[in-house]
Amino acid sequence: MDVRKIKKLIDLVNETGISELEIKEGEESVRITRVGISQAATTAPLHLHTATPLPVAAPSVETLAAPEVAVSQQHTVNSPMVGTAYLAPSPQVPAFVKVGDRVQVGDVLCIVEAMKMFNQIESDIAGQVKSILVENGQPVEYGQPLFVIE
Amino acid sequence: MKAKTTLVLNQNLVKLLRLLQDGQYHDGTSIGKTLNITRGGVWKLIKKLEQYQVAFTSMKGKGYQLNEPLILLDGEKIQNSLGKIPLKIEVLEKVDSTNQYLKLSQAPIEEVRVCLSEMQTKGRGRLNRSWYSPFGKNIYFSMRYPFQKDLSELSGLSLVVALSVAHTLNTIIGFQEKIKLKWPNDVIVQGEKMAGILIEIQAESNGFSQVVIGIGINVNETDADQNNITQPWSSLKKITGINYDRNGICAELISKLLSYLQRFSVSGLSDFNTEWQERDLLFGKAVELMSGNQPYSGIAQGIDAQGHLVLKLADGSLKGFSSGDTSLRKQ
Repeated sequence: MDVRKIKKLIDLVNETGISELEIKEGEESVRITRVGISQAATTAPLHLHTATPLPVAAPSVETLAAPEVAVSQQHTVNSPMVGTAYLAPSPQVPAFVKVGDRVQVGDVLCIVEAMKMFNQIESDIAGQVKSILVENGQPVEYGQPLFVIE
Repeated sequence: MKAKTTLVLNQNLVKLLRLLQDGQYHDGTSIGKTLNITRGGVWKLIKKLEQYQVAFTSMKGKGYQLNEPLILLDGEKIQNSLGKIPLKIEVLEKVDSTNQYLKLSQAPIEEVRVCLSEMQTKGRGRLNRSWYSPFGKNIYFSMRYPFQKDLSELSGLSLVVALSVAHTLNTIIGFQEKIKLKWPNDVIVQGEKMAGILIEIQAESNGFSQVVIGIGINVNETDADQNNITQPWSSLKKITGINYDRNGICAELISKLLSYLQRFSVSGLSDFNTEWQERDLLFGKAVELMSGNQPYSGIAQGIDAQGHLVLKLADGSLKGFSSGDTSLRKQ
């Protein structure tokens, strides 16, 4: 499922204030649960599960100094096509990103190439590159996770 | 003064070259009069020609003479020979790369756009390998095209574009010399590369994909500095000995490309199977392929439904490849 779609669903959950939303699309399903924190109704942590809808474990409710969002969102950026992943624009130059880098929406993370068709893979969220799941020049499958952005 | 990276084609330059087309000497004063510009203006144009390494002779008292014919690109001329196709063509004098130019274009996404440039300062191919792009000699072409398709359905587009280029070039040089394609999209004549293609997918969402198709065709190039090109190359002129007006080739290319893309949109890759077989350079040959850092060798069996190259490996198994550098194994 497209991460952008999931993001939209999260927004929808937030806007409407419902506590849970589950969507099935073919073999994929996603369930978004708002874990209620009774004393802070404004913002709530989100738990996001893709592919396998597992029951959401209730987080230990900690007293937070500020009513900030304690979001534990692990985004994966997936390959939109079968091909070869390139982590740098050419062999002689540094990679687009490395672990620990901060990225903005639209920043190029890598290129996936198939039959000389090049697709720049951009980050669809702002955050920090937590891990890079592929090596330069590695063949990738459709939907294969490439990056974890936190 | 820092040179601008993108320049729209100077129409006085087009007029000057039209004047010099007769191969005769023309002096500065008469050029100025014909073009309705000052002597200083003429001098600036001549400096431009020098800077772009256009070969001409200058003789005191007689003026300037072109060493070989050069007709510049003319968007209007191309548009006119295409008839009523709704299309916006931009002709540039100089740009970093025509693909890059269209990728940054703010035009509405549903519009088909074409960019041509007389030269590229950063012409490139796969993995930023450079594409030799001197002024006025060849075709540096890009088209931005919207597909009502998901990215996953565009597999094979590369091959379809290559087929349209091969068909265009065969229309130009005649069909006695069949132009071949080396998977996925190297355009090869007599074992040498005549054209290259680079496709960049720009945006895709909700089943809508936008692609920028870059095509470089060697046209009137005959004596390129070998240091600038790393592989055996050919050009239309090398094959036929004719000096071409690139405008006609561009019109042919646009019309063929649009018709192939249309067909691909409607029927997919399967509609092109026979055509691919006829032009498949690798078929039945011993091929080496680098997939990432992994070398494979096998006998090429053509393509599968996705357009992937199928190799029969040493153990008799068939394996499809979606990317990789191929070369013919020396026997």
